[in-house]
Amino acid sequence: MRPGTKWFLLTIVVLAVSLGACGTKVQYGDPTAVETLTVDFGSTDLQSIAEKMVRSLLSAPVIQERNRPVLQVATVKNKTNEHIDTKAITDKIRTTLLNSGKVQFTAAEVRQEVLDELDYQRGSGYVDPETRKPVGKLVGTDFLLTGEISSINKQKGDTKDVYYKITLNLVDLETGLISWADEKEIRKRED
Amino acid sequence: MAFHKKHAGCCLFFLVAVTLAWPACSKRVEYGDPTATETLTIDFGSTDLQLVAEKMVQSLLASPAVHLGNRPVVLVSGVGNKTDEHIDTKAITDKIRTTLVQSGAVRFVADEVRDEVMRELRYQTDSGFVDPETRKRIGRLVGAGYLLTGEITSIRKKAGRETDLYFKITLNLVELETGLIRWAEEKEIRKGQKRPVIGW
Repeated sequence: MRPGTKWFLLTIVVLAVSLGACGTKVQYGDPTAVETLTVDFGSTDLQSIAEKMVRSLLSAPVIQERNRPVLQVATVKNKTNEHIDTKAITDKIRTTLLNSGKVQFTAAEVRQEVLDELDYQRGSGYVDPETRKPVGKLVGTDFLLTGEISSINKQKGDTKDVYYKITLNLVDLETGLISWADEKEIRKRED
Repeated sequence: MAFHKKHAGCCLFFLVAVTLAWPACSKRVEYGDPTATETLTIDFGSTDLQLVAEKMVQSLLASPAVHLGNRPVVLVSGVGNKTDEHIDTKAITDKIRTTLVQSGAVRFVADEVRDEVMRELRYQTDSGFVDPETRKRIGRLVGAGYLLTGEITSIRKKAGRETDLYFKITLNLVELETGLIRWAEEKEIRKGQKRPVIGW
C-alpha cells in the first residue's frame, strides 16, 4: 500500500466516525425537556404558550367572578410562514383548564356528531327509551376563545432570528366584547 | 523528499474534510429575551413592533379627547402596510389591543370573529338543541364608538454600502358618530446599516 492510499483510507474512516455523530439512534426522552434542535416552532414553544395562557386566564376577573363559565374554542389563525397546528396549542390549553375545574368547555368540533347521535337515539326506534338522552339540553357557550400566531423571521449569513407572538382573546358571546386578552412572545436564535 | 510532500498534502485534505463534515452537527439554537433589541437585519422586526405599540398605548391612554371614564368601545379596522416589505400589521394592532384590554381603560369589539359570534347566537336560539336557560340573548352586542385605523410607510435609501431606513406609522381613532378623528399619533423609526467590505 502506498503511503498516500493509507492516508486517504484514514481520512475516510475519520470522516465516517465524525459523520457517525449524526447517525441513527433512537431514544425516548423527556417530552417536557427544552427542545432546541432547530429554530422552527417546537414542543417547548407549544408548552410555554399554553402555560402562560392558562395561568393568565385562570387569574382573570372575568373567569373568577363567574361560576364555571362555558367556553368554546374558535379558530386560532396561523399567520407564520411555517406549518403550525394551532389546535394542538388550544387543545393543551383546554385540557389544562378543564383539569383545573374552573371552567367548562363545549365540544364544538363534534357538535354535528352529537346532534346525529341524539337524532339516532330519538328517531331510530332501536334505542331503549329509558336510556335516551333528552333533546334540547345542550349548554350554550358563554365565551369564544380566539386568536392568532404571527412571526418575524430574519436571517443574516448563518444566523437566524425568529420572533413569535401569539395572542388569545376571550370574546363575550352576548356583548361581542373582548373580556380578556393576553399574548406570549418567544425569541429563538440559531447560529 | 516526495514522500513528505504527499504526506503533507494528505494531512491538509484530512483537516479540510473533517472541518467540512463537522458544522453539520454543530448548529446552535438558543431561546432569547423576546423584548431584547433585535438588530440582525435592517428590516422591520420585533423591536420596531414593540416600540410602535408602546408609544401608541401610552399616547392613547394619556389623550384627553378620548373620554376614558366611559371606557370607550373601539373596533380595530385594519392598518395598511405601504412599505416595500411584508409587515403583519395585525400583529402590531393585536399588541396594542391586548395591552389596552389589560389596562381596563378601553374596551374592544372582537370584529374578526363577528361571523362566528352571530352563527353561535343563531345556533343557540334557532336549533332547538340548546337549553333555553343557557341561551345568550340576541340584540345585546355592544356597538363600537370608535374605529382604530392607520397605516405604516417607509423610505429606504441606499448609497454604496450604506442603507438608511425610515419607518412612520400613524394611528387614528375615528369617532363613529361624528366621523371626526378624536386622536392621532405617529411613531417614527430610523435604522442604519453598513455592509463590511467582505462578508455580510
